[in-house]
Amino acid sequence: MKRRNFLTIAALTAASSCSRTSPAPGLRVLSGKEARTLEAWVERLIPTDQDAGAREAGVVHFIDRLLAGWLKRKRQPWKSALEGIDRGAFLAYAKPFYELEPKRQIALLEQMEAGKASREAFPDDGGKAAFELVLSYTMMGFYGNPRHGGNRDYVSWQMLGVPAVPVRGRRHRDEAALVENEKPNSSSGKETL
Amino acid sequence: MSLSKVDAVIIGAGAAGPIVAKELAVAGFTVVLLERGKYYAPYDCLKDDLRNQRTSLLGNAFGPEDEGHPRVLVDLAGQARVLQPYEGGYNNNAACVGGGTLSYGAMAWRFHPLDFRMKSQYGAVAGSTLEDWPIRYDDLEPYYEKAEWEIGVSGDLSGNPFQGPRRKPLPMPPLPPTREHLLLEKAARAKGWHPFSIPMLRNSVPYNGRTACMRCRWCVGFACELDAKCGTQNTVLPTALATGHCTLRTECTACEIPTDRKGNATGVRYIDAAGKMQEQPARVVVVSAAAVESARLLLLSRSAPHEKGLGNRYDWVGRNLQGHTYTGCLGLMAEETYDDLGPGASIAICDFNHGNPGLTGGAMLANEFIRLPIQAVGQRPAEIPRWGPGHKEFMRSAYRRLVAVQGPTQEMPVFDARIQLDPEVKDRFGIPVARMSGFRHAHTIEISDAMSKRAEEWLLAAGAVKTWRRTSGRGLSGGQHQAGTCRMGPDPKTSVVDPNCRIHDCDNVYVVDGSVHVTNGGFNPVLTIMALAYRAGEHIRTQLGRNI
Repeated sequence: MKRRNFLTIAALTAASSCSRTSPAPGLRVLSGKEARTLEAWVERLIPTDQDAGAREAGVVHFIDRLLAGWLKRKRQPWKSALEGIDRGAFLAYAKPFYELEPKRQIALLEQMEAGKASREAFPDDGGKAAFELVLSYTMMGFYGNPRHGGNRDYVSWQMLGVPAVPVRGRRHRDEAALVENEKPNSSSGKETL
Repeated sequence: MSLSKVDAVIIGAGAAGPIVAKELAVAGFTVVLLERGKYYAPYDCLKDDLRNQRTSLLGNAFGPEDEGHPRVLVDLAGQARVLQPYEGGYNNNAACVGGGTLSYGAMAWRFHPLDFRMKSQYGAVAGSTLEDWPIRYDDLEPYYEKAEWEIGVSGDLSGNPFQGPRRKPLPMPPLPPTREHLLLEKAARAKGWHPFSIPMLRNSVPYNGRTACMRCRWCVGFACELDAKCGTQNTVLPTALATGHCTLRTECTACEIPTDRKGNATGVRYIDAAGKMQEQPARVVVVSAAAVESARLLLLSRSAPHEKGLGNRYDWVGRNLQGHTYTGCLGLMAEETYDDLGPGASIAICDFNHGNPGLTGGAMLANEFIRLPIQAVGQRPAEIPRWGPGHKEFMRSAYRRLVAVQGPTQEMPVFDARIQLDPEVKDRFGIPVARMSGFRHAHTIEISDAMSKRAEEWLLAAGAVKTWRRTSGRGLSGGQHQAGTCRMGPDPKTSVVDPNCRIHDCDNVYVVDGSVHVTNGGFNPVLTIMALAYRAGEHIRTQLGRNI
């Protein structure tokens, strides 16, 4: 690569990262648009019916918190996934993913699961990796212990008829940890995906 | 400056190390116990469904740390991948004080007498290094008993005709049965099988100064919040430390066993918690780091008398890596069976450990540990969708009706299933990491498939309205039941340690953990590892006494 090209790309990259929106209120990493896209996505994976779905369980909040922690150095696949699904939606229907009717959202997700979504949106694998990534973390955020910010009010455990964590003399410890982790945007500087 | 010399330095405070430490320390010998992980207390249970030793989606709770401890796995296609401890294929065993015994499910099986004589019983198996142990069940029996009473086992084996002779019953009764237990018990009896309550290293009643199990579901994979699970960290280790002769050093990683000109060990070099290289001189060195890391340490310990690594003159160190092939079956019952009672696993049969026509061994079959919601996600039958309304409806309607039966199939050892040092990848200290390669023997898969079918029969007899079997691939085995990499045998040319766990070509280095298993039984291996540790501890104590 010529030096001038490299500098141009570097400058563009820098500019684009500066121009990125900051995290939405209540979130640490995801922008408002990213959160809306992700919320529509996870809600299709575990939809609300007579019981709460992934949206009410706070799966977006769970993933956002992980992106500031456990996934801090693995954010790129998430960025690609969220951009990819929106691009896929635009190419097919000229709308962002979260504005599509559920039927169309499901159709797009099914294509991704089969690795058959548009290569313009997902050049490598037709959306397979992005689909699997979001599916695995949605399950974790929905069915896991609420300590990571998902499964809000134990909604999935309520659905399954599984009792919440019993109080056995150390609740203070859990709650202290929760309070510390529950402060959105309060830690050192805001971060973007 | 090196530290002052002790009688024994033991590497690894897992299932075996603290037992040897205690056996030596109570006899007045000075011991340093090195552990690369940390010490965890009961309140480190944390009940985190996503980050524990069984479900490591967000990392391991009890070590090794998420970064700085990679391994390399060569898959069946020959592709090498660098893996972190929380990733599948890493073959992790907890790295902490107590090792796996801090967070295990705690099944306390004695191997079957025939498990020590597999080749005599069944003959050679093509493509396998199947062999008899140089010791028999009778040699280990007193030490099994010692482990059962000192560490603490509950259960009721009286209904099991498929076991070796024992002199004493278990010290504690079983926990009361669950709904699942009662269903499966009735079904097994109807089949003419012999169900009984699984022996468990868990207090069913107060024992050894600790309370009884409260039956919560954060059991397998978690440190017990009540300290009702019996591991080495809350039994033999405190006893050893109380003698004043044993020192425990945590976050200390052994990296070499230096030897003198004759080839005998002079001690251990290790990196301490501050990252500083230390040398602990000792009269005897005991390696108890589990099958992957024990083999790695021996291979790292190269010197003129041991050019290919300690104990590796004939290229057997790191070979025959095995674990257990877990297969079985899931069943959907007509009615709810879930009663939210841990540990869950409760009933077993040993009818199919041996005597299966055409098969070299078999497995104990038992019901599965209590299922956390996230663990049920992957247990659906193939036709149930992975997401969407179909997924949710399945979870809602099936979760409380799911029963799993499974068992640890005894594996056919494979010479090329092995640990080597990776030529490129290093750990956080710059030391070459374990490179794991090889595969499961085809007959192991045949046996495990047959065991799945037996599990299915059991579930159908218990009234399952739908069943779906699990199968295994050919990929390398190991995992938490890792074994075999420093085989015990009488002949230095075809084994690494002698029947007393001492390395053949070295007077004062012992390997005491699952590494020495010739074959790994059709049972969870921990009680056998503990029994071997008591036995080796006794031998080392005698040796140290002689040479004063």
